[in-house]
Amino acid sequence: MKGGTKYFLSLLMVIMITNTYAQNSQVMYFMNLPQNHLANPAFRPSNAVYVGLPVISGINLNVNNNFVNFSDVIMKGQSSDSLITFLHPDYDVDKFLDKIKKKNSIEPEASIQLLGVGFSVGNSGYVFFDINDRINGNLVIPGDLFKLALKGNEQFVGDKIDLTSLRGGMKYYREFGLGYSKDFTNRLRIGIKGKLLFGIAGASIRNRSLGITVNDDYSHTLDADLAVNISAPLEVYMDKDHNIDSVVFDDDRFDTGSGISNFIMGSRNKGLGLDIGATYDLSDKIKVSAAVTDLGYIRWKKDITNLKSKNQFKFSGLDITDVVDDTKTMEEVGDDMLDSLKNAFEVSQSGNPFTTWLPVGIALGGSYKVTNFFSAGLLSYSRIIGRQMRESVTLTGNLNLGSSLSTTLSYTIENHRADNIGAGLAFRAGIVQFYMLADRIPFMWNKIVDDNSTIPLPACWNTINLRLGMNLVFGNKIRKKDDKPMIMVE
Amino acid sequence: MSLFISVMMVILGTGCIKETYNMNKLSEDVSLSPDFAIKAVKGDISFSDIVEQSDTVVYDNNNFVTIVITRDSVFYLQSPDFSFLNNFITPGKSVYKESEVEYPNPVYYAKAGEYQISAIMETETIDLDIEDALSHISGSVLVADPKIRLDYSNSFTYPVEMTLVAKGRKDKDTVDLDMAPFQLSIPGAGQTDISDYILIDKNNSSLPEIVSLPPEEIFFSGKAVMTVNDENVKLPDGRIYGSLELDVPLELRMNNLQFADTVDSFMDDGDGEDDISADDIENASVIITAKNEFPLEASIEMSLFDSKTKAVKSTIKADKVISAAPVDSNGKTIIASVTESVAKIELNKDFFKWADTADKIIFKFTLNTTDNGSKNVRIYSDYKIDFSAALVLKTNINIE
Repeated sequence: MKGGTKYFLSLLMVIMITNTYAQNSQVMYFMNLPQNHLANPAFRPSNAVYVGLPVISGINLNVNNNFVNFSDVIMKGQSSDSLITFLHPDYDVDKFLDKIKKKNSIEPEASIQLLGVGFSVGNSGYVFFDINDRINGNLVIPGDLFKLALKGNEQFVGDKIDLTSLRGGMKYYREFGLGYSKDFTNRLRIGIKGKLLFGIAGASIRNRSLGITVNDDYSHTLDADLAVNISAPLEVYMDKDHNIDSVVFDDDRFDTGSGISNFIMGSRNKGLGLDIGATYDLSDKIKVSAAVTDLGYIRWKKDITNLKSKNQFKFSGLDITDVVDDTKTMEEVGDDMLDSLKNAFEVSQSGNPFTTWLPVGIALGGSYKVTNFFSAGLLSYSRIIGRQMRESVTLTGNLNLGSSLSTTLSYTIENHRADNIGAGLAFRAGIVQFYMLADRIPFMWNKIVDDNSTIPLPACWNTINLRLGMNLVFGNKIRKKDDKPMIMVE
Repeated sequence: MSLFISVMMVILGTGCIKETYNMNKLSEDVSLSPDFAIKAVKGDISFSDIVEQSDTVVYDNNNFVTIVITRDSVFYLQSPDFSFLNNFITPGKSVYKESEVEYPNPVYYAKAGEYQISAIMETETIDLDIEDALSHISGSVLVADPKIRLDYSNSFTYPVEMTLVAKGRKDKDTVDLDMAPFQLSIPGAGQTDISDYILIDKNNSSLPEIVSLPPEEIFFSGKAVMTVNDENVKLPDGRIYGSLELDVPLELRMNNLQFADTVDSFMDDGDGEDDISADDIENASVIITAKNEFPLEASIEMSLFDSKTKAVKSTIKADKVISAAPVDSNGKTIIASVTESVAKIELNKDFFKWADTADKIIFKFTLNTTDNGSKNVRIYSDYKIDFSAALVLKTNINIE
């Protein structure tokens, strides 16, 4: 493997695996953290100035899957220390399939805050600027695909193996955000953040229709209306029959530092984004807030590959009429059928720019100040990814002692689970503020051991969400009359 | 407040180990039980797809199918082939040969009177070369109305009586034609030759029974007797030439006509390895859907046979895999009344168990015409069968 490729892959690995920090942390919403303007640009911290140090100010990983846990795949066998998989003869695979949903999604997200700066302006204004490298993906696997693989197609007779929900996408982009928030009245504060986006690599699957109808007579009708758009250093080679022959990663461009730089710093895939939010004090104790984040798009123009296939094909058995009248052999009939299938789903390739949309977040929150230090919060957070919507509701208890200590304990109903307990902790030592928070704390862990290693894994990993970082913060005194922070500090 | 902080501390500090998974103890056994169903083959096959029209297979204007077998020079008799019979018709008269003249123009002279001369046709054996095929066939088939048209040309001016002897043989069974002698036409005044024909059919022979055997061989012989009534007349040169055309219109009835054959098992390629493991397959079904315009129904029996132990290990039976089409009073299919039939052939676990060891498969097809062969049916070239075969496979695949 060439050095450039190693670097690229290593970078991807760092982004995708090592770093942990959530884009849409519900726990962060009610904390006194400079980063909470990511959740609602109307929020401002109690510090007058903050500087997020490159890379370490905020790193994030957020992985959601809505269908399986480790214990669903590997479980205890009949003897106490034996292990079996869900495919073991002693295990009823139907139990596994019971956990499979119609749409099974995996949504990994990661980001690194390369730079973050925020400072107060005037009586109530607050300006923030940040640069984030963000990578997010989503993969939706239709439940029917699992059923087909594990139980065969006979169960679908008279029905359709509906794979229309099969969807996937990945975006790696850099975000330059500049925001401003201000009190417009004594009660109302509005914030807005404009974002300039530069896509680095992206891919999306547009699936308008995909499925196999298993007719009552056991014939099969395949229909597909699929398009795959890629913006990445890949070359897709087609054969003479317009079928994909090979996909080659163009690693030559990563042989030199300038090549790597051109890739990482590329600006041809431009996009725009917008966050907008508001807070409103209903009373001295009750505050409501709302925000729409990541409203935007990226127009991909560099290294474009579009692959498209649309057609319908009915397979109702090999037609042996020609074999009977001795004009063809059975092998020729089989080859003809395969050719027809290939031709029906001929792939067309082009290089047209395409657009991907950011997953929009919608937050509606409210907090009730029990004491000057303690408040209770309720947050509804919705995320729209393509045609899917994720909804979560979070109840929090928030303890905020200025910027010295901010903690939150949360209970979230999300991702088909109602046992998400989260917590956040931020504390300040001098000008350095450390924070760490998780929407779901894995109370129960599994220990995976083999001859060489021991790996702890959360017993339930549907949602893995962790955010941590370090800020430099300056000034903690907020002017009482003119500034309306979300958390009142005395 | 203190409660909140306490809860926070408890939550943050109470992660515990739920389970320990020792991956060294992970079983690698894998079992999958997918059930597959797929339409494997289909076809829309007419009679004319299977049997092309030719000199032997003829379709008439209504597409009715007739099998035609022609044979030239069934007999060719000339004057030298005839010899005198002792039965002088007019007692006291004698016939003598005046001189020996070399063939082909011997000259016979006769004294006045009436006498007979005859020619014997040597027995000809027609081997239809279907003995092997017929050895697999049992049951009865009756072809309703076969015909032989015997065309001849005769230049003798004296009456000739032909006796045709034909016999069909299938194994030890023989059937005689049982046809009465017949008179050939003779040339009229001014004619040197006359062509005519004799029709042999169910009305004057047992031809349908011969054809329905069906015969492996047909023995064919005959005799021509010419009656001469003249005195001191030089016998003319003459000859009798005959050819035949056998027409077998496909109007027939079959009752439990069976075709059985033993073939090498295609499920055992002899490599000593299990091609199909009984453990892998719970059961399988072949579902045959057919819209059959032929007035024929078919049943199938398939047996796994172990030639070492000479034992049938497992047998699969499927009655009426294809149903016969209904026919009208003429034996022709009523197309509008043809319906789709569905038949299921079950292949059970026992069958697959023996599929590995049995080296032969015995196939037995049983055919019946409409209404169990109780009425004649007619076969037309535009009859077709629209069929498909689907495979439903219930598997149980274990990988260790």
